[in-house]
Amino acid sequence: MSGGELERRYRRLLACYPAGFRRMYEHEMIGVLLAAGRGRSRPGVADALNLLAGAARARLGTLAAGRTDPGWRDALAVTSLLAPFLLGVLLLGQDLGWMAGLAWHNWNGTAGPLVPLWPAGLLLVPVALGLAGLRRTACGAAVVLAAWVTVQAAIGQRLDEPRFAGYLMLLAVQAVALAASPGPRHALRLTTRRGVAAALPWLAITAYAAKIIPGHYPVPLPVAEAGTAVIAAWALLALASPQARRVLVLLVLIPGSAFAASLLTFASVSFPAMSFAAGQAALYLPPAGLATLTLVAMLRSAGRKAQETRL
Amino acid sequence: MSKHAIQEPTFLILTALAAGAQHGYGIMTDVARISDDRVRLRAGTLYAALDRLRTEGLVDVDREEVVDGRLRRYYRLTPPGAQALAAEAARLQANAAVAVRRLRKLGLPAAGSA
Repeated sequence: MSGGELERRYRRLLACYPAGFRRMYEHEMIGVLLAAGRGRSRPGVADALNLLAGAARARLGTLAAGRTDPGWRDALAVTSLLAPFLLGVLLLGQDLGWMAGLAWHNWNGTAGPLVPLWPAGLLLVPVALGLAGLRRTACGAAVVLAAWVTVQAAIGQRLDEPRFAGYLMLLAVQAVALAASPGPRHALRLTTRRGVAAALPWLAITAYAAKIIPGHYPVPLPVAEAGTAVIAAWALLALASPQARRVLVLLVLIPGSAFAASLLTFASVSFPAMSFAAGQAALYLPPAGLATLTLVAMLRSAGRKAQETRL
Repeated sequence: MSKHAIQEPTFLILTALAAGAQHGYGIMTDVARISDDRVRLRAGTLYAALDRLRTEGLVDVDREEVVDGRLRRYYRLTPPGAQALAAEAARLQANAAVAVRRLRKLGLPAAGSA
């Protein structure tokens, strides 16, 4: 096999790296790989794995502090703050009693109004830990909660309930975002108070528009529809920002892969039910994406400033 | 960075560059030589480290050459890079000195000591 063929194969592996990294190093890496791989006809398995791992690290931005492109870490940090926010919206919007039943399978749903609040508090523990600066502990807490909710749902035979899928998805998103970013504190550093204050009503309207908040909440439908239209236009403008595109990709891809996995896992249990759950959960994606784009658009200038001072 | 111990591959890359500016493949072969073939850097590891060291200001691009139509970029140690390497070398030396002293007390010869 010719050297050209080997080079083509190395290039295909290097294509996994982020564009900025490739622009800087691709040419010399090809030179080094070809020099080190003299006499080979195809990339060695260890080399290929090493390149793929390097590309994954470069893409996740977990290469230690001060990477040239902190965009993904910033995007994940914002995600780690938004996922629990949407979790909170879900908890307030959907009946807390149902959640209490999920968090503790034999809760009978007849206790006083304060009883169902504790699972809500429980689900917000990771973000509280994250805001307290305990990012790794927060990530662990999110994983434990996801496992706990799954076990309780299994005992209570609620695995096929769409709402379970929604909670599980947001906990998974949160865990991934906490693991691979500097966490919600970093997101707050990128954030201006005015930005958050301005974003909150948008987040609420978006959540309503996607029927996350049930119909009996007293927001007139035309208001919600007008709000949705404005947010959609705003989101389209926000797409011009690479940062906003990153967060959108994250919010679609992370739950997307979580769902692919959950469908495979539960396929033998109840495939139609889980498909329905996935379909229902897809309802949460547009508001999550739109809310993120809105928030990011508002934080963009602050984020860019922080990025410039770091470079 | 200087607060944490430097990982061995990074330490060896900085050590390789302490001899003068080198290109990627030169660093790889030099690191293998310094470590008695114990540490064999792969391209993915080397360039992840170089990228990080550049953003940390410990290493910089010295010059670029084109050899046989291939780009060769030479890297050199910056003054902060030399400082970080010196601090890490001193730390390792101090640790090793304690280990050697204690092994002698035990009556065990420390490998490599005269």
